Amino acid sequence: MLFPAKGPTAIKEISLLGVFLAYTLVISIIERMIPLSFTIPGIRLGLANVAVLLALYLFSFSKALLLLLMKCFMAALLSGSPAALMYSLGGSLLSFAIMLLLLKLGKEHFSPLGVSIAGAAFHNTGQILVACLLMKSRAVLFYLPPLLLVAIFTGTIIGILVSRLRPFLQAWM
Amino acid sequence: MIKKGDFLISAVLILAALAGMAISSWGKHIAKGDISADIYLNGELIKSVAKSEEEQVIRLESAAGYNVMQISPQGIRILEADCRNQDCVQAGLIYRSGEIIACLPHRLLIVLRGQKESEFDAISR
Repeated sequence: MLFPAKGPTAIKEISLLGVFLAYTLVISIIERMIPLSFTIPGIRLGLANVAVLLALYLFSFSKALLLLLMKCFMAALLSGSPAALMYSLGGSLLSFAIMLLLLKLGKEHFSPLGVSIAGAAFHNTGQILVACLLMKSRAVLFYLPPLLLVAIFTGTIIGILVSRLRPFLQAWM
Repeated sequence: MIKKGDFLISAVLILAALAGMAISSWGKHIAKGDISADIYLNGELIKSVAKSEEEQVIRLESAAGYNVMQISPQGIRILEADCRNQDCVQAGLIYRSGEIIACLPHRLLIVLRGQKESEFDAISR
């Protein structure tokens, strides 16, 4: 069971997860409307990862994964495209896996900045791999190297947000 | 607070990106007629146009939607498409071998290929 506990902590967790989910859905719509780059397609800040990474720090891994999966499926419903689901699942799951791995390796080695940079890079990698599968071509890999550099920039911004918000939310929990 | 591992991750990413760029630019050259644009739809090669040919506009229509592309001596670009994100239009003009334009919603891929590819090029793709 994901939420066996009763009491104020469980209520706070459930309500915060709900707020996170609503936030990721709204931000995914807004980010789609604002392209950040005109040379490499599809660059986004990845603000939804603020919620996913905070959930990984504040809650158990299974609750963070639940948030991520619900975000992917509900965002796909909103966009109405099955291909969008494959891209978001491919990127999100790979990004989630690397962030989880880094947190298990030790919070003393990596700050939220490093974790979110790695998460951003693997999100891009996952999406490029899905594109390779869908287009049946390795030529799409051409986009990956610049995207990895962009991930350092976007991941840093997301990491700063997470490290600023985390103590505040931890105190509230 | 920034930790040592953060720098390690960034360093690995920079190295990986530089290595990837080096591989993809291997043998890349600004084309002077010895280049062709391969157009794929759903992973199948449907057209291969030599870039040196006279300027032409091709309209490709599939179940997913349409893309209008312009092939000129300068390169190839997508002029118009009915996809939502318009990434392919914003990608602009491509003119070097190895460069691509992808329209993910339509599963359309345009790859510029040098006619005289080295073995290395073929492997890196």
